[in-house]
Amino acid sequence: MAALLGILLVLPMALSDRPFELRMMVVIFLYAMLGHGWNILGGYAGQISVGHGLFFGLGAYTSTMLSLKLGLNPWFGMAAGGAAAAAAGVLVGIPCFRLKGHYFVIATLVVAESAFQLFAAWDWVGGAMGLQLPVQEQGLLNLQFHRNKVPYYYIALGMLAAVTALVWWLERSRFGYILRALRDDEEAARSLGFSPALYKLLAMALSAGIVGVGGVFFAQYVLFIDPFSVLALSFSVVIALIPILGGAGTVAGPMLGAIVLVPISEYSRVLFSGTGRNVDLLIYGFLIMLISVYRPDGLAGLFRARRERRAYVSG
Amino acid sequence: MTALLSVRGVSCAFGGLKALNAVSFDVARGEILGIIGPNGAGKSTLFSAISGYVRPDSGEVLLDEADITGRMPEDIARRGLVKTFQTSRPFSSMTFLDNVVVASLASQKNLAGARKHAFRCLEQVGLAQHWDTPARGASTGQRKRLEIGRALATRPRIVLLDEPFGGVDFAAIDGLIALLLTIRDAGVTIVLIEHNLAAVQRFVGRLIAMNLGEKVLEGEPAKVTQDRRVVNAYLGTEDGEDA
Repeated sequence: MAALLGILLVLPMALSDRPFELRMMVVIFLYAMLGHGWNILGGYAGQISVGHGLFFGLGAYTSTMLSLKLGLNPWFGMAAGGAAAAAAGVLVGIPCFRLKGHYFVIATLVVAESAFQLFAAWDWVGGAMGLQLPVQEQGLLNLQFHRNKVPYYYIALGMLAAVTALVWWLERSRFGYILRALRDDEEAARSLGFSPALYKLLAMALSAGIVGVGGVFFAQYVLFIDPFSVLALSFSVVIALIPILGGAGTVAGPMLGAIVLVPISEYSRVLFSGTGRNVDLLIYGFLIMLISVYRPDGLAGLFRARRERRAYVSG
Repeated sequence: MTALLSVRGVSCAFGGLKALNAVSFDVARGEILGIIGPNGAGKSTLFSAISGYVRPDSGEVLLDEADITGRMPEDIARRGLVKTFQTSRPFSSMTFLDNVVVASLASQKNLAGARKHAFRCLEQVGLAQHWDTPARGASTGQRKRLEIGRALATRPRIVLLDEPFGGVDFAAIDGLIALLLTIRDAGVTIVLIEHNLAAVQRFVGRLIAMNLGEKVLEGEPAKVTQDRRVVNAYLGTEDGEDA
């Protein structure tokens, strides 16, 4: 763990004149973080969403609009974007959690697609043309770096580390136990006194909030957003595929998934250029098929050593 | 002393089928009450109506004099009435211990304390040596015990056990009866549905017999099980005679 973190900390020295690889690392960190966010709801609480692009887009649009219309600082935008996404998560969750299984999945898909159509047609937020963030003086304060992109690397890595720590803690917390209980058997969890509605909404708020913060980072990184880049349905699918491939309901899953999927996506873009749009999704789909046949618990299952039997209760 | 649980004229209909018809009874603190009756008598529906899984069409359910009719199951569980399921429903991705830890977390926030409490509950139901076994690999008997342990871990005042002996080895029944008596002695009131009349008679204080959604009889176990109406309900009536 420490060795890996050490390598990641010095890696930018080797990548400073290799923008393609540097960008790929930033995207891996970002997607792993999005995967963590999805995993809280989909992996631990067992509520499979294919609409999380909505929260990513809402985060990105919130901070960008606050910056464009009110001149607010992107760090404030990050808090606002996360909060907006979390609030949207609760609003989406209240009706959608009344549905179970496949019906819930379809509902999240419909909500996200509606948001895409809405933003594409809504001129105040740039419509299909999207929004350009004004170039500001570079630095941590404005969360913009123009010549040297290495700071983005460290910010993304820091955010991923923070979210990983949060999920690690969550897994061992009371909240984590209750989410897994809900995933395994909702009726049994109710019979013990846990409200499915309450805990699912909390999981949704946290999940959406994390993805929303990721959206703000993305907007600051690319400095341009449109519905196609932050609200597209295929993006929602990718957010879900990453932890599913890596191992849903595990801390390592989203990171393993991102390490495998992001390079496939980036290299296929180079190889097939314009004509190869969504070739990466084709490969993803194939991988998912392999995984679901041979390793239903995801890549994390391949690496999982026999867990130490911690004698946390002295017998 | 007033009844801990009081069921008053509870009726439930599914479409045209009257699953429960004005069922009333009281459960005293510290008692073990058995409910018997043939399949389709409405026993499980009665449990569902008491514990909030089914909303009664009429009648009321009082827990310690508080009206809990039509409240959510989780709300009723938090008030100290916990139901187990006829087909046990363990959290299959978790170990035995973690199944019970979840239940302990219902009554306390502290995880370390919840683990200690859960382990004691596992000991009580005789599963402590298997604490690290994944619940999905549990045998039927273990599942029944696990489910009782989980209910206990919530620190309930009253538990409704739906067929705790169902599918349990003949040899294991004695142990299960001893367990239920220990639980009762620890201050938990028990209402249970059971088909195994021989086993039930040995330890319940009182029996209620149901048939076709109605309470047929209530009283001492020996009397109830020998009553003609109850025997007829189980074995069918002779000469088309009405039960």
